[in-house]
Amino acid sequence: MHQQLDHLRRKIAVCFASAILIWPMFHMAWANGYGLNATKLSGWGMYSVARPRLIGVTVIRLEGKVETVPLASLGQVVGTDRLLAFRGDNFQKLSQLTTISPKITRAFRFARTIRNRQSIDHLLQSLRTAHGWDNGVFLVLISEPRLSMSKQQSFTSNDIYFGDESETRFLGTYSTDQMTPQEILAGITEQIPPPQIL
Amino acid sequence: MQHLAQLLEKLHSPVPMKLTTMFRLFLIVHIALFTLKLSWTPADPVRIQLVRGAMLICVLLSIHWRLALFAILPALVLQLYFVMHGFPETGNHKYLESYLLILLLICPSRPIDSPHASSQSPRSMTDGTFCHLTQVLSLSVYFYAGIQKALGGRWLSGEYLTQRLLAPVDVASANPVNHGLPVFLRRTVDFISQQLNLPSINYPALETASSLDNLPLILPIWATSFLLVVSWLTVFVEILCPSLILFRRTRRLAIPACILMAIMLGFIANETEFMFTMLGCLLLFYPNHAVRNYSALIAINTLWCFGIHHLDIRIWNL
Repeated sequence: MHQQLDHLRRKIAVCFASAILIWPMFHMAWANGYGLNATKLSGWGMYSVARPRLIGVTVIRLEGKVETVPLASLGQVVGTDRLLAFRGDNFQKLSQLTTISPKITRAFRFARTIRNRQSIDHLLQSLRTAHGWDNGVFLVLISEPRLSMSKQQSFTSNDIYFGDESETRFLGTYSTDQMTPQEILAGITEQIPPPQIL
Repeated sequence: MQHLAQLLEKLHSPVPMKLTTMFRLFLIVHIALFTLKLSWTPADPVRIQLVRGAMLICVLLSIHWRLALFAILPALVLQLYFVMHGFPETGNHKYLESYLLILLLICPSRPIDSPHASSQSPRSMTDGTFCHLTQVLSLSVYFYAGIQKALGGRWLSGEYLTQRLLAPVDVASANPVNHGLPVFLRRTVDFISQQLNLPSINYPALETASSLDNLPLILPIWATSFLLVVSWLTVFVEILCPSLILFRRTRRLAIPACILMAIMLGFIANETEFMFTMLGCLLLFYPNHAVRNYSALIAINTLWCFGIHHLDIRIWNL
């Protein structure tokens, strides 16, 4: 009886350990190809990329009127003002909101750890439900500080998303060593036409 | 198929009972020591003391294999709480410790009769599945870390270490728990610059937060070259050390090399918690001196933890 049980336990242990050994390969592929932070979620790429806390998440709410929301530096990309002529909308930044809702804080953490459409969608949904912005239209920037060793300068790599009531759309990765903020603005404006004025 | 059967047989081959007992004790002590950090979070002090007391009981229970289940389960619950608390930004050592606890829970731990056991203590052996799986797991961690650094594109160009060197850290007052690597890099680069009379570095005030403005890096060529060499060496060593175990001639070197690497990386990056877990795993390769090795490791880990968290010892400020 003991032997049979031990045999089963050994089998389960080998399967479990095999899964742990195989997981980092998938994790690496996910991290290198699809925006997962290599140092998190039990991938062993510790210290291979910047810590998530250095990765900025800036949410900009676009609509016809400006509501007063206090601004803060938490996760905010410096210099986004130059992108805010986007579609000619007025805007507000929502960084301060991360400090007042654990649900939003968690959604921000997900967005900077797993940079994909689903996590951005989740972030926008949590913002909408927390503040009753059913018709909110948002621009989200996930920004990572980088260094260009060949050009000897710092730059920022920005994954930019657009979210409205119906969908969240990935507009592309824009690096400031390749494009100026004005060129980034032109690039994202091209993809999302201005709202129809009735 | 025959090779696989032989491999599995080796995987399950018995190991001294003392080895698994001492590892289990070390792991539970290591997790119990983490509860000293609970005072950092705004929680009910009575609950914190209860958790610490429960973990102390777990330490005692972990010594005997029959009672170990009652030590491993609460420790696993605590670990999973920490994993969920920080999710998805949980530190990797929390996952590793959870995996080890799950393996301890699954693998058979009762004593077995072995033909290799001495006549005086015939039941001093136990199933070796846990030990052997943990050995493989521990080596894979450094191997994957090296591979990811090589593939990730930030190390081979020297970008990562340059970024850490230029991180805005007040070296004098920085808490090395959070800034170990930048502080170490600055101290090292400044030391080399002074000793060899090389151009010193004026650290630019780079934004840690992302900025849409590109700022120039003003680094002397010797510093850029130094960081590039250190980056390549780190990647090379992380891949090489665990790989040494694959070749018969280098096998003896592999484990001391990994232990040395674990200690160096632990202190340089100030990841001592991860370092102690890895050292515990690597000591499984030395079954003959289990009691001595693990007793020393437990003592050092305990002293270190109390030193860091109660006496406020800071490595790079000494």
